[in-house]
Amino acid sequence: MKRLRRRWSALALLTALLLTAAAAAGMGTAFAASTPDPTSDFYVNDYAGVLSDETKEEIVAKNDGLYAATGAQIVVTVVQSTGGTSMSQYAYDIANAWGIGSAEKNNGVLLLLSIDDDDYQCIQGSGLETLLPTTTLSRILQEELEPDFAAKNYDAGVRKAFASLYGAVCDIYGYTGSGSTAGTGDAAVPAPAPTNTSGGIAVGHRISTVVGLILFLAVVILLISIFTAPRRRRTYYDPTPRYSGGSSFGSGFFWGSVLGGRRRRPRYPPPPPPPGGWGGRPAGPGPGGPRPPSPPPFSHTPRPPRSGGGFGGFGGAPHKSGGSSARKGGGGSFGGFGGGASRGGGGGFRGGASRGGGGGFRGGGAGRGH
Amino acid sequence: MENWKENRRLAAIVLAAAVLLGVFGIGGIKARGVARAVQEAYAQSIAGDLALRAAAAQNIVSVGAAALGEDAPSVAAARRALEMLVAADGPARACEANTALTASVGMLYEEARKAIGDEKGSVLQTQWSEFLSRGDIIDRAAPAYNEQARAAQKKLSGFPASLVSALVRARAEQFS
Repeated sequence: MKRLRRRWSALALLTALLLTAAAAAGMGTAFAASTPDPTSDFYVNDYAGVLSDETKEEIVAKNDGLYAATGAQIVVTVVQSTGGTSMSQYAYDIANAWGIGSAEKNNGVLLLLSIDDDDYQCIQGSGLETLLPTTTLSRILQEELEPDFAAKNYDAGVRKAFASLYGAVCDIYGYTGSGSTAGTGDAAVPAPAPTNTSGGIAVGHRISTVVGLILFLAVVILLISIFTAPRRRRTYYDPTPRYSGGSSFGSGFFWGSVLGGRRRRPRYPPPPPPPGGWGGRPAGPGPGGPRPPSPPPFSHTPRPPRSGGGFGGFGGAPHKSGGSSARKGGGGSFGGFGGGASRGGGGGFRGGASRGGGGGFRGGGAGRGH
Repeated sequence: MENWKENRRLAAIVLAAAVLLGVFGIGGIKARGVARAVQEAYAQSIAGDLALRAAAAQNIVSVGAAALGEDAPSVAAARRALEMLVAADGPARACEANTALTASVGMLYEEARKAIGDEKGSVLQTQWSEFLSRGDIIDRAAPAYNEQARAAQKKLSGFPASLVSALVRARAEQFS
C-alpha cells in the first residue's frame, strides 16, 4: 500500500515537473514568440522587401568589418507590421532576443522600420547609451531617414541612416573601416563571426528548451534513484546498556518517536554482574581486584520496521539512500532563461534584474513618434 | 561590588539591557541593511534615469519658455512638476512627480512644436526623444525594483521587525 502510494506521488510529481519544464521551455520563447527570427544575413532583415540588394550587401559588408574590429553591430530590420505591438516594445524584444552586439560591451544598435505602421525606431545597447545617446539617434533619424521615409523611399532612407549610424559607431571606437581601430584604445574584440540560425528557431528558444529538458531529466533520474534504491534499515550503535523497565528517555524512545514508530526496540537483559558485584571500578591497574568485564557492546541490531509515518511523498524528511537527499520538490525555479545570449553574444535583457553578460538593451531609443 | 552576584535586581537589569541591546542593536543593523539594499537598487536602476529625464525636461522647458513665454501656463506647469521631481524624497514621491512631469512636459512639447515648427534635428525634438526614452527605460525597470521593495517590506513587517525598523527608520518604498 505504501509502495503504491509512493508511486502515485511520484507520478503526480513527474506530471508537475513535466508541466514546469514545458513552461520553462516556453519562457524562452517569450521574446521569439511575437518577433521574427533573424535571416541568414542577420545584419539586414528585410521582411517587407523594400531594400535593394546593393543596400543589403553594403550593410552586411560594413558590419562584418565593424564586428570583427569592435564587437559592435548595427542591425537593420524592416517588417511589414508589428502586429499591434508598440515600436519601442517590438524593437526591445527583437534587440534582446537576437543578442545584437558583443556580450562584453553591449554595443549593438537596431534600426527597425514598420511599413504598415508607418513608423520606425532605433535602439542602442546599454553599452552605447552614453557614447551614442538617444539625442544623437533622434537627430540621425530626423535628418537622414525621415525625409525619405515620409516619401516612402525606404531604401534611400535606410542607406543614409545606416551610413550615419555606422559613422557614429566608428568614431566611438576609432575604427577606420580598414580592419583596425585607432585612437580610442578600445581593443578589438576577438570574437568569431556571428552564427546564423537554421530552421528558423531563435537561439534563445533553443537554449531554454534544452536547459528545461536537461533539468527535467535530471529530476526524473533523481526521483527514480530515490524511490527505487534499496532501503537500508537504519542501524546505529548504542553502547549504553539496556535495562529492563528502564528509563523511557533513552535515545531509543526519541528516535523511535521521531521516525514515526511507536514500537520500541526489544529490551535485552542486563549484562551479568561481575564477580563480587559492581562496586567501584578500580582506577587502572592496581589493587582492588580484577576489573569487572565490560558489558557487551550493543552492536548492530536490525530495527523493527516503522509503522505509520513514513515520508509524505516528496518534500518530507530527508531520506538518504545512496543518493542525495532531496528536500525540496521540483518546483524550484526554472526561471531566469534569458532570450538571446547568442547572436553576437550580446543581448541579455535587463528588466531590473541583469543576467549573464549583463546589460543588453534597456529599452528607450528614438523613433518617429518622438 | 563583592556582592554583585547576589544582587539579583542588578543582574536582572543587566540581563534586560543585554537582551534589548541584542534585539534592537542587532535587529536595527539588519533592518538598516535590508533598507539600504533596496535604496541601492533604486539608485542603480531608476534614480539615474530619472535624473537624466529631469535634465531633458529642463531643456524642453527652456525651449518652450523661449518659444511661448515664461508666463505660459504649460511652461509653469512643467516647471512645477520638475521642481516636484527634484524635491522628491523617496521612490513613491518620485514616481508621483514623474507621472505629473510626463503629462505636463507632453503638453508643453506639443505647444512648443506648433510654435517652433518641425525643424529636423532641433533641440526640442532631440530632447523630447531623450525624455521619452528615459521614461520607457524607467517603466521597464520599475517592476523588478518594486518586487525587490515588496520583499524588503515583507521582511520589515511583523513583530519585532516592524518595531525595530521604525526605531531605526529603515524602510523600503516602491516606485509606484
